Amino acid sequence: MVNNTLFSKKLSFYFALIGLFVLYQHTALAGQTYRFGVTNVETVMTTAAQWNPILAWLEQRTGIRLTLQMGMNAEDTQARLMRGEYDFFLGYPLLQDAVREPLGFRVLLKSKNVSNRSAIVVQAKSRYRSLSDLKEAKLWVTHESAFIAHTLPMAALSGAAVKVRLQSVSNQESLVMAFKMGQIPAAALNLGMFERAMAGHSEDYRILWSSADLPSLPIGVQNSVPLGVAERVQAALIEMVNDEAGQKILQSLNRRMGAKLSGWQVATDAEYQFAIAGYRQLERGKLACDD
Amino acid sequence: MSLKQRLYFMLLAVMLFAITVGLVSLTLLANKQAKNDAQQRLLDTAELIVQDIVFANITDDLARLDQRLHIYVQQQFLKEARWNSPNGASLIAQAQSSSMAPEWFEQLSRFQPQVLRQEVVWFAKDYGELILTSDISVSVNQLWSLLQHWLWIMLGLLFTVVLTIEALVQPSIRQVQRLTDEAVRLGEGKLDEPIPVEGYAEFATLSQAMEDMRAIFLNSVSRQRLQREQLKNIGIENEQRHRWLKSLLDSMRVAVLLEDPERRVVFANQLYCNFFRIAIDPIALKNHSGAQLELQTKLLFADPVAFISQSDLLISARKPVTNQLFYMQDGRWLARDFIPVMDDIGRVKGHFWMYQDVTDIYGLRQALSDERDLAQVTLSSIGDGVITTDLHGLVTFINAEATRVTGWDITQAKGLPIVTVFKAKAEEGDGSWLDPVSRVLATGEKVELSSHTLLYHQTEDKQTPIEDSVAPILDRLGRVIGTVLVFHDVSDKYALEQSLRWQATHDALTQLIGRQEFERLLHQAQERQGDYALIYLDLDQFKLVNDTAGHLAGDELLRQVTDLFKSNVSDVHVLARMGGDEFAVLIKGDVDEAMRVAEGLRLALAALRYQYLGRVYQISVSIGVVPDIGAQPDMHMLMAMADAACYAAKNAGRNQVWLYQDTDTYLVSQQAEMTLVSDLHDALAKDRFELHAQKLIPLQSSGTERGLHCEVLIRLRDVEGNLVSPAVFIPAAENYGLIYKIDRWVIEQTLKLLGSDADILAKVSVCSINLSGQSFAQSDLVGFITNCMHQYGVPGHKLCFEVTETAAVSQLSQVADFIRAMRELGCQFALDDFGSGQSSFRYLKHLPVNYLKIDGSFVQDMLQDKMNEALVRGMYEIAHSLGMQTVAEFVETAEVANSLRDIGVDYAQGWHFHRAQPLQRLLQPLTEQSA
Repeated sequence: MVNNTLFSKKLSFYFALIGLFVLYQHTALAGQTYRFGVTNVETVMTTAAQWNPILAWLEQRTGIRLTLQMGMNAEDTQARLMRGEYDFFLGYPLLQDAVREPLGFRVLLKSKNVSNRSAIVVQAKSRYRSLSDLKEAKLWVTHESAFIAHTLPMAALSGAAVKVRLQSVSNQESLVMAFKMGQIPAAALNLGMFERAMAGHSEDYRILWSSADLPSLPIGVQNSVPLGVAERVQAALIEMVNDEAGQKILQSLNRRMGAKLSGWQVATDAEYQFAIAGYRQLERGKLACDD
Repeated sequence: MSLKQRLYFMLLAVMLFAITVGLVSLTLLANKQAKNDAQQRLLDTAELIVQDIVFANITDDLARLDQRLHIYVQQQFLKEARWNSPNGASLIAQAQSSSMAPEWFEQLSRFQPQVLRQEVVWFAKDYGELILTSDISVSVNQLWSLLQHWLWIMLGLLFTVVLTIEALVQPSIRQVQRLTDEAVRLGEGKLDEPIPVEGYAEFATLSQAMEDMRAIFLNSVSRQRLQREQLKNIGIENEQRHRWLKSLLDSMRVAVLLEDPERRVVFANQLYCNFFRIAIDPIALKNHSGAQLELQTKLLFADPVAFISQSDLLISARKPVTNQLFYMQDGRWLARDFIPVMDDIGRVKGHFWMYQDVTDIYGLRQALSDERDLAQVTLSSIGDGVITTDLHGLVTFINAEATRVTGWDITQAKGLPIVTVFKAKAEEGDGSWLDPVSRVLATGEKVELSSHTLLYHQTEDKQTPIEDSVAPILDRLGRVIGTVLVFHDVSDKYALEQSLRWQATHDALTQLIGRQEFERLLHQAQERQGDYALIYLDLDQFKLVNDTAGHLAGDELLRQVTDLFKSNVSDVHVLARMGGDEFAVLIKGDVDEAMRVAEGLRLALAALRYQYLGRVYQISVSIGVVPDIGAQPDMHMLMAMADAACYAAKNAGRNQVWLYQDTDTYLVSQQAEMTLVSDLHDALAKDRFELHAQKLIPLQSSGTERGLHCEVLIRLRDVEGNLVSPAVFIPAAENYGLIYKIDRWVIEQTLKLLGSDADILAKVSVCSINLSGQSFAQSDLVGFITNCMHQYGVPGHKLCFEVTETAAVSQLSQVADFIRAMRELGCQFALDDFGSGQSSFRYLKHLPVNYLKIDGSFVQDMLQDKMNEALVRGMYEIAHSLGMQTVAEFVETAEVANSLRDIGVDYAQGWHFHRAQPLQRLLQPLTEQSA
């Protein structure tokens, strides 16, 4: 009888611990806010318009509070990323060794059915007909951390042995707007986003070079984020397209942005090896870019 | 308070009012505007700050946000900007007050700071709360500045107005004052000095107007003075006139009394006093009561009550009255005239009475009236209608007879134009109203209207036939002063004429128009050259009905047929009975219409089942139609064509309609026949027939006859002198009923010729004369022949009448009677063309003829045709067995003659022995022989 009583007490204690642990976890989870960073493809406000609804849905769905965080520009974002100020991050910059290795970022997800191509575009009325025409010309780009909008075009120019003079812009949205208004003659950018912005004005520009279709921007997570949290976020985002409220958010987003976002799917680092190698190559300085 | 003071007072009041109203309005407006502006600005600012908040939160740059808030606050419409983050932190930025207006104004303006609280949510992400407070100092400063401006403007306006008043109003006030003084002077009657016309345009105009008024007043006063002077002169003149009028009235032969409206005597002349035996002087009557005077003198009148009442009536009526007659007790007649004296607006100013002794005139008038009455009574009593008019053709008198006929009595008619009362038309005129009175008035000559005049009753539903005359009424100088219209009702005579006319033109049995009237209408239609056609109808089997059922049945049939025809012939056409059983219709229309009507009549009659005394007769009609009668100028020819067409219908089998056409050969031949008939009529009238004769030669030597035996033959010589063969005209004469006339001509001429010479008569054995069947239908044939025999002294035995077999058989009884009658006179008879008809020998028993003439058709080829020879022989045998002698016709050869002789035929007639020649020439040798 004594043994039974003791066993019951232990069992209860263990159950209580488990319960407390679960409660702690939940409370901890409920109390902690995770920072969701996004690369500066679009302006902060535009990015917030896209991701605030998604993150609110995530919180409602999973109980995990995610708050959008960005730098004022791509450079600032890069710095913050490297300082580990983002728990989750959307964008190619997380694939940089300087970010992956110290912070342990790994790829969780990527967008489904989103075209991701890099391009070098010029004004249709400009004299530029080929990459070689860009020799010594000014080329507007975003931060070097942008793989699609910076790294790949630079590689192409390097391959064509064309030296250009780079002009930086804080984000691609501003870059595209400036091009649309005819303020810049040549730019390197994300072709998909550019084409959406220039819809109906195809006769106003010329594509000198474009890449193959690449995987869409990855969503990655730091090692500091508990596994369960990462997995839950991953699962939720994958399931978002099947959720009625999630579908409405995605449809609204597509209408506003002109995008064709249809949800997320599981992704791994292996799919982005090309980018990782590309970043390494950039770091090694073998790309002929600016002066 | 002077005008100037009032102006200033009003100006000040207006200014104060304007300032107050302006201030209040501005304040309210500014307050509302400021509130709206502040709210809008806060919203606009909040929108920007929200983005900054979101940006700062996303980029984790709150310092920048704080900086931005301070920048916003420094924009002078924000007093404070506060952001409360979701985690409780706050950022506040406040502005320094910058109000320039005094505090009392700030309180007075009642501006309230606007506060905006807004949740900062960016696409479902809560970024805290933003609170913005507006700064009213800007609005207060604006209003304060505006008010200052407003006050300055008001002051400036006030100064301007004051200057204007001083510059413009003061002189105007002075001018008004001057004009006021001038008006006062005018009111005091001081009109001598002119009013100066000076000053501003309006004041000058006013001054001029006042000056004009002064001139007018001055003229008016002068005129009044002048009028007073004139009135004074008029008064003197009136006095003179009054005296003259009095002496005039006193000298008149009319008693005069003038009263005022209250019947007080104003004036009376001496004669008035004399009339009414008033002893006092007429001048003394002044102001006496006129009514009292009447009362005092009323007994002088035979009817004083009437006299007084009349006076009262006249006065109350207020209308002039003349010639009121009063009989006085002393036998006089007084005529009174009353004239109410009225002013321009109809008020009675007096009564004017005049009295005149009209005893002499009245007597004369009475006599005239009596005479007029007598005349009117006389006129009213006579049987003729009498209407008199004045010089203008207006009715003055209408007697009872005229009233009866016209429907107008004297009270209605008097004064009306004569043409209104006396409305007459010529029966056969153009339909216009007659106006004989106008002619009489114009010419002064009497006018007689036509005998066929119809006078219309007032209601125009009755017309009376009249005979009428209109004569002028002349005064002593021979001037026309009116007319007298006298008319006599000839309705009875008219009715009789109408009846006679009707009887003359209508058939009594059927009430249809007769042949004569129809032909007249037909002729009129021809002359009109319109679309007319002629239908001629001849009843079939009518003779049968007449002969079998009697004339009453025939008459009834005709009536029924007439009713049937009437119901099938429209009133636009003219239906007539031509005589016997013949009818005609004058069709107003073309050939199609005529044929339609004709066919309708035929069918209608064909459907008729006429019953009489239990027997039913089927009646039909043969109809001839002649279209376009206007193309035929000769009416007789037209009738002949219709008759021919009708005849053709009969010949075609009866119960038919036959349309006359120029190309119809049958009708052409009929027409030729009709032409011949016309010629026959002419020939009869002009003796163009000739008597020829052919000898009959005895073949047997045993014949005892001595002397000439011949057959008289008729020949016609046409207008050109050519002989026409009997074969041509005899059938036409028979068809058209002329043959009996020709027979009679032959009889008379033959007897005349035979009787003209005794020797000739002695030498003639027998003279054969042909008689047609129609002659036997004439009931007086025996008498005619007998008369001729007596007239020309020809004995009966010298005559032989030849009757054709056909005629004899068709009228067996008549022929037999004739034969018996004439045989008693010694006449002989021959049966002509024996064997050619369809009769049998049986009839020979009933016809006691002397000779049997064998038809030439059997004789001509008897030598070649054994049958004919046998027939000739047979006829001879039978004739002889009946005691008749035989005559063979158409003996053209000796061989035939010999054969006939051998048979025993008694006589031969033919070219072999003798060709026909004029009878006179044939008889002439007899006289030569005698000679």
